[in-house]
Amino acid sequence: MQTENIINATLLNIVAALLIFFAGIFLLSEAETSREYSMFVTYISAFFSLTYILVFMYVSKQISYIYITCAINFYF
Amino acid sequence: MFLNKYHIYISLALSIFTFKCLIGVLHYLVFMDGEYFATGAFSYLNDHEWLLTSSTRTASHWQEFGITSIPIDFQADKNTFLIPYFSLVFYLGDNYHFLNFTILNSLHNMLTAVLVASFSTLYVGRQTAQVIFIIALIQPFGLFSSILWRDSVGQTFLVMGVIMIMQYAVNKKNFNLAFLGVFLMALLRNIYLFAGILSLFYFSLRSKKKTLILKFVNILTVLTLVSFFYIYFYDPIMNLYDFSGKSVAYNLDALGFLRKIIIAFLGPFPWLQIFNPEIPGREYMLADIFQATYNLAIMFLLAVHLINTKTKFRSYLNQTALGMIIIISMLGVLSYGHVSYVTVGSVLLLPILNTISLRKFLKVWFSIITINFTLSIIWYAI
Repeated sequence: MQTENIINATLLNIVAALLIFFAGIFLLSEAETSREYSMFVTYISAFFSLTYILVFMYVSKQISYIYITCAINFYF
Repeated sequence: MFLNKYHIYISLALSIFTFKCLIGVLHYLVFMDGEYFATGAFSYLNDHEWLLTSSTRTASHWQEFGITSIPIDFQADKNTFLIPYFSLVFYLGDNYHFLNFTILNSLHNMLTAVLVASFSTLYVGRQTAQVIFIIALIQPFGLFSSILWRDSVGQTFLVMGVIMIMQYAVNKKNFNLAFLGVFLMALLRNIYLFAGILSLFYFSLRSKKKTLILKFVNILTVLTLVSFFYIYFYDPIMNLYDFSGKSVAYNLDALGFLRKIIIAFLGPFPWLQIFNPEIPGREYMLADIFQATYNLAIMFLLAVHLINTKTKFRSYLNQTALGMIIIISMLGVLSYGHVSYVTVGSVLLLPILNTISLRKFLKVWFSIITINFTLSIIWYAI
C-alpha cells in the first residue's frame, strides 16, 4: 500500500473504529445496569473497536470485514 | 500493511490497552474511592469535577430533548466540542457511570499510537515504523487512565488534525480537508486553531502559485491573528497596571515563568512530593513525571539525530512537524505550564527520528528517569 493510501485508510478506519465503539455501548448497554456490567460492556466495545483497526491496518481488509460481521452479530 | 509479524504487534497493543484500563481502575479504587462499584460518587479537584458535571448535564439534556437538541449554554462551556463527545458514553450507555471514561481514555491512547505509526510511513521504512508504533504505545500520557480529563481523547484528535494538515495541505484536490484538520486540532484547546492556521499560512507563503484557496488561507490567518491578540493580549495591554495580574492566564513574573518552564519539561520535581497529602493533584503526579521524562527522551534523541545526520529541514513536512510541535509546546508553557499541555504533541516528533531503535529509546528514557529520581532524593537529603 502506498504511504498516502495508508494514511487515508488509517484516518477513515479510526472513524469506523469509533463508530464500532459507540455502537457497542449503545447496543449492549441497558438502563439501570450495574457499574461492573456497564464497565464490561464499554471494555468489550473498545476491545472490538481496537482489534478492528489493528486487523484492518496490519493484517487484511477481508479479515477485518469478517471480524466486524462477527462483532455485529455479538452485539445483537 | 507495514508491520511484519503482525500478530505480535496486535497482541501487544491489546495487552497494553487492557493494562491501561486495569491500572486506571485500580488506581481509582485504591487512591480515590474504593466504593465506586457500590455507591461511590466522584469528588476531586474542580477541573476534574467540571468534566463530569458538564458531560452529565449534556447527556441528561439529550435524554430529555433528544440528541439533535443543544443545551442552551452549549457554546459558553470551556470546551464546546469534546464535552458532547464524552457525553455520548453516558447517553448511549443510558447511565452515568463515570469510570467508563477510563476505557474511553485508554482506547484513544491506543488510537493515537496507530495514527503516529501510520504517519511515520511518510518518513521512515517499515522496520522503524514498527519501533515507532511500540514507542507510541508505551507513551505514559494519561497513564492512570481513570483521570477525568479531556487530554487523552483530545490528543488523538490533535494528532489526527496535524496529520491531516500535513497530508492534505500539499494535495490540491483535497486541500479542504486540511481545514478539517485545523478544526480537529482545536477540539482539544481552542488556541491550537492558531497553530493549525499558521502552518497552512506557511504553506501558502512557500507556494509560488497562489490559488484561490491559498488567498483564503491568508485572509483566515489575518483574522485568526487579530482574534488571538484580541483575546489574549487586549486586556493586559489595556490594563498595564495589572500586567502581573490574575485576570489573564499568563504570569509575566520572570522567576515564575522560569519555574514554569522547568516544571513543564522536567515534570513535578522532586517526585517524592507525591507522598505529601497537602499537594493537590498528587494522585496523578507520577504519570506526569513519566510523561515529562518520555518527552525529554524524545527531545534528546531528536537533538542527537539532528547533530549526527546534519538533517536540513527543507521539506514542508519536516518544517511543519517541528514548527507545530514547538508552537504547541510554547503555548503550553505560556499558559499554565502543565506537563500535559507541553508534551501533548511530542509523539509526532517520533517519525522524524528515522534511526531510532526501541533499545536506544528505552535506554535514554530510563536513564533520564533514574537521574530525575536520584536528583530528587539528593534534593530531599540536602
